[in-house]
Amino acid sequence: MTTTMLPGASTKSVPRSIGSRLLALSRVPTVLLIVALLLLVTYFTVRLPNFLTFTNTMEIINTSAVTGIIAIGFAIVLIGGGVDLSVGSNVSVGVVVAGVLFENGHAVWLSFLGAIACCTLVGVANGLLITRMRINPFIATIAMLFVLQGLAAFITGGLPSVINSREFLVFRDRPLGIGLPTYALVIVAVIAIIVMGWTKYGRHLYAIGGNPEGARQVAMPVDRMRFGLYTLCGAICGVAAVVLVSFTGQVTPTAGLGREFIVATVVFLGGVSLSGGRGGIVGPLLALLFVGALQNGLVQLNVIPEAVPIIGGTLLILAVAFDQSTRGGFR
Amino acid sequence: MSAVVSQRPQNGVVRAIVGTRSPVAALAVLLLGLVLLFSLTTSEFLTVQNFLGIGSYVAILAIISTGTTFGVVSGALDISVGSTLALAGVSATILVSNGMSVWISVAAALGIGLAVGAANAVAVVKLRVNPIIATLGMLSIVRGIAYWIAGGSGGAMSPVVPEALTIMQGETLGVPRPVWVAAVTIGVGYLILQRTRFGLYAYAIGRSPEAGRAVALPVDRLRAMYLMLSGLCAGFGGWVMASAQGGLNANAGIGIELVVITAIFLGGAGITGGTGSMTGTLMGVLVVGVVANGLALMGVQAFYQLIVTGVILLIAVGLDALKTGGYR
Repeated sequence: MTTTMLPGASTKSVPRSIGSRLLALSRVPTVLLIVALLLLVTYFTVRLPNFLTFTNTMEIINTSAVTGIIAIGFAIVLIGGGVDLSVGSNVSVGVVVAGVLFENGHAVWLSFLGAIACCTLVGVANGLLITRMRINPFIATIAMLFVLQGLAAFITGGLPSVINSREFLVFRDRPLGIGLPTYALVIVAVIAIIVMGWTKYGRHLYAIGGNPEGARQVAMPVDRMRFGLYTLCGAICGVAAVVLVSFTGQVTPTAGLGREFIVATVVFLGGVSLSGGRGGIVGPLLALLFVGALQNGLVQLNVIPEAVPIIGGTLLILAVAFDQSTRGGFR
Repeated sequence: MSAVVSQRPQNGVVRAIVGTRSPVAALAVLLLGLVLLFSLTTSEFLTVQNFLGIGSYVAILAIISTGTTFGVVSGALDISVGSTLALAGVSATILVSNGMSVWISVAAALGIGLAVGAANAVAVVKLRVNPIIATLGMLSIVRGIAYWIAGGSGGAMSPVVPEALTIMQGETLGVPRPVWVAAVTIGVGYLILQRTRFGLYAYAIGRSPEAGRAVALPVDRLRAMYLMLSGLCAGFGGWVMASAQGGLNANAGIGIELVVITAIFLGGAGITGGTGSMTGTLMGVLVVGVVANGLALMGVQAFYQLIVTGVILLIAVGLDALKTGGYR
């Protein structure tokens, strides 16, 4: 695979259709995912009368929206060849910052902005650790996970609180019957799809993810792009945090705890590769629907809650096994 | 430690810390410094009772870290150990509560540990999944199983646990029993890792699995065994913890894998494998234990401990990155 062509670069000079671009970026696992999703929906629709209704579908998407936004950030970092395991804790920090700012009398928009700024700063810190101190991204972001958890607890002084003010709980609104979190997810997703699929920046991200050495040899600013990558992920986590806290009203340092797991599951199920340079945004979105529908259906079928982590873990392993099977995998 | 030529300029201080001394020696110095710091800032640190307290926590950490060190050295990180600990401990508790002998509970805990390790091995060696992701998935699966057999989420266990299980409580010769067990475990681990060929192969595989295959090492089988060792020690640690605490609920050990990793990396292991040592792990465990204990004694709240642990990990890995040129 070490040709002079950078992966992700177009091999044709003719303009490509939208469909083929999307498909090329999302790769084959997406087809299987669509099939799995259809099977799942069919099964649940047969078992549950309420499953395929507008309300239920919107419910599924709305509750998955925050995870989806985080997943988009996570996926972008993975495609660029990195990994950010601190996303959940970053969201926790964003949640408590927004909450505490508002509780201290600041305007809603300022609280939101402050949260996004903080999360972006976290992304900057991650970027510095990885590109300047040259710490392996796994370890750097795991360590940040620790630090951020502690930070989130510190900011709330250990006391979770609940905000009930209507003006803060913006994301509980339902314009046209569709929850605002869903709108947020759609907006972030559309932007991400456009950036990854149609801009030069997106193409370069695929390049540095798939073949960093090759990218360096053609004088791509790999370190600078990586730094930007983690910063961007931080910003996206900030958005997710704002949506989360504005929807639930719960200002607690454990808001994002453990989300890394389901985010990772969704992203890997969606065909994004751990080795970087492959995958797209559409895949994880489909996987998000799949996981969300699965959870929704299982809950309605009164399946025991312990089954969820078991199924989730199995899905994750199988998804990555399938992804790696065409490329030899871990040796 | 072999001399690795670093491509980064280093000033004298950095070179003194990183370049010539082994990480174990540096950690020993750090440990002494920490002990000194804490004895000066808190009156209770240098008491026998406090050391006993540190002892139990550190003992369990050491037991788990012994097995996971094999995994890390061979290039396969195992982050499912916390869930394995919980499942083994919960199973042991349930068995003894239902009248089984303590020895059966030990066997069950070890068996569970081996089974989880084997499952990890299948995912890594057969399905060729990256070990971090495989063990991440296993972390979730095993935790779910633990909740399930403990009877529902939260896993509140029956408070009545027969005397038989509490064999690890109390002291022998003035030292908490878990400490004896940990000492033996890590001693055996040291002998295996650094004095047998089996242990040597772990370093070989970690450095270059391809080279290992080229000289006809059964890389896959060895990897599987190292992962099973990791699970085994986690299971054993779970039993010891259940015994020391008189029963374990399914929430036990959440997050402990991160502490284990911190200790092992402090001890000189790198994420790509091929480096590290059992003595290093021991020192790492001691440092982490002392820091947690000292901070708690100083009245520092739990979240500060998290922050400090994270920072320690970053410093440890940062120094390693300085030496080797780091992640590119």
